[in-house]
Amino acid sequence: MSKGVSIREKLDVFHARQHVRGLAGQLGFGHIAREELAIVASELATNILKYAGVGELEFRTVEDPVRGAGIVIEARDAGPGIENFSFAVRDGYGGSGPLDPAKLLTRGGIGAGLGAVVRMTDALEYEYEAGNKCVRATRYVRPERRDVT
Amino acid sequence: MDDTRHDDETVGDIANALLVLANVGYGDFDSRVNTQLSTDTPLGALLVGIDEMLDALQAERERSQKYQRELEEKLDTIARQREAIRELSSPIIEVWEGVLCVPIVGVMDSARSAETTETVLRAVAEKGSECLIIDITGIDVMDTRTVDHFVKMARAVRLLGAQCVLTGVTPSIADTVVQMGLDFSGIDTERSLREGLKRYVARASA
Ligand SMILES: Nc1ncnc2c1ncn2[C@@H]1O[C@H](COP(=O)(O)OP(=O)(O)OP(=O)(O)O)[C@@H](O)[C@H]1O
Ligand SMILES: [Mg+2]
Repeated sequence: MSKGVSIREKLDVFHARQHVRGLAGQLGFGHIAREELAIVASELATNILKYAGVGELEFRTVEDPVRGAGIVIEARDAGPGIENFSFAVRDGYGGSGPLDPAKLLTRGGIGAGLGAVVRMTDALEYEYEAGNKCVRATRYVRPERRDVT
Repeated sequence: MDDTRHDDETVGDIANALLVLANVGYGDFDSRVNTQLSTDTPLGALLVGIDEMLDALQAERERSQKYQRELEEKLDTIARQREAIRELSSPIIEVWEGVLCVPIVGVMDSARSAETTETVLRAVAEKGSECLIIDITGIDVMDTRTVDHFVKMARAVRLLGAQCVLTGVTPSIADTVVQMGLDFSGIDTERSLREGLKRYVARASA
């Protein structure tokens, strides 16, 4: 089961959020996890608007043999792409390096969108091909057990 | 009455007409009398008249149902858009002279927090407000970085000479703050917007 929400304007960010909230509810995510997924969808969609202009968010459900049920969100666009993904996911960093902290309050973004995505998902990948850049975020219903020895 | 017709034929026609009218009573506008009688006879004229009236009624009903459907669709769209507008904007309301209030609905993502910061700082500076209330009732999740950014914004508001109050902080957000070891000093928090308003409107008007 998969569904695409095309991202062209601000209202589409809202639609993407509404969609992931519904899907997460169906899969059995709790309220807090659902709102976290709404933030994830929001950040990915907002980045598309900001850096590529247009693109698409695709939502899929997965069933992992170990982790169980989850949601995959793929954010695709054909924009310039992220120069350095490991920079981009760091708080206070842009795609090509650290942001000027003096401008953080007013630059129209605090450089923590992808950082929040990392914190609110279980896996994050970036695929970079000409004409198709894709950020893929996965979140499972069951929280990861960190106490397994 | 036409005496060449048998009485029971007439009775049958009338019974048929009554059935059709009963159907109308049950909301079924589809059946018709469809009499063989000519409109030259009084009964024929009546029965054909009934059918014509039903045609008109049915057309009218379809028109009004269509209108009703369109109306409901429009109301639906308006309700959805109203929700979207509430989620996509953070209006600043001057609730009292010197007291600004920003109710935030939906999600608090990084774009929203950046936007809020800009509008809030501009409004406080322009109006020289004494107090800024940010109400986050209904926001159950904020990323740690966003909370941190909020704290920075509140400090900036204080540098402009205004007090910053955060109302409607839910337990889960309070948890985030504690877990992060964030410093909330310099920011007043109140349980609800009502509490916040009571305190600061009283202070501003004193
Ligand atoms: N879809 C994209 N296309 C091109 N570059 C992107 C895309 N998404 C993110 N980036 C790059 O990655 C950087 C980090 O993104 P991130 O969302 O973390 O921060 P931001 O968008 O700068 O600020 P914020 O999200 O806090 O408003 C951006 O500054 C941008 O350079
Ligand atoms: Mg961003």
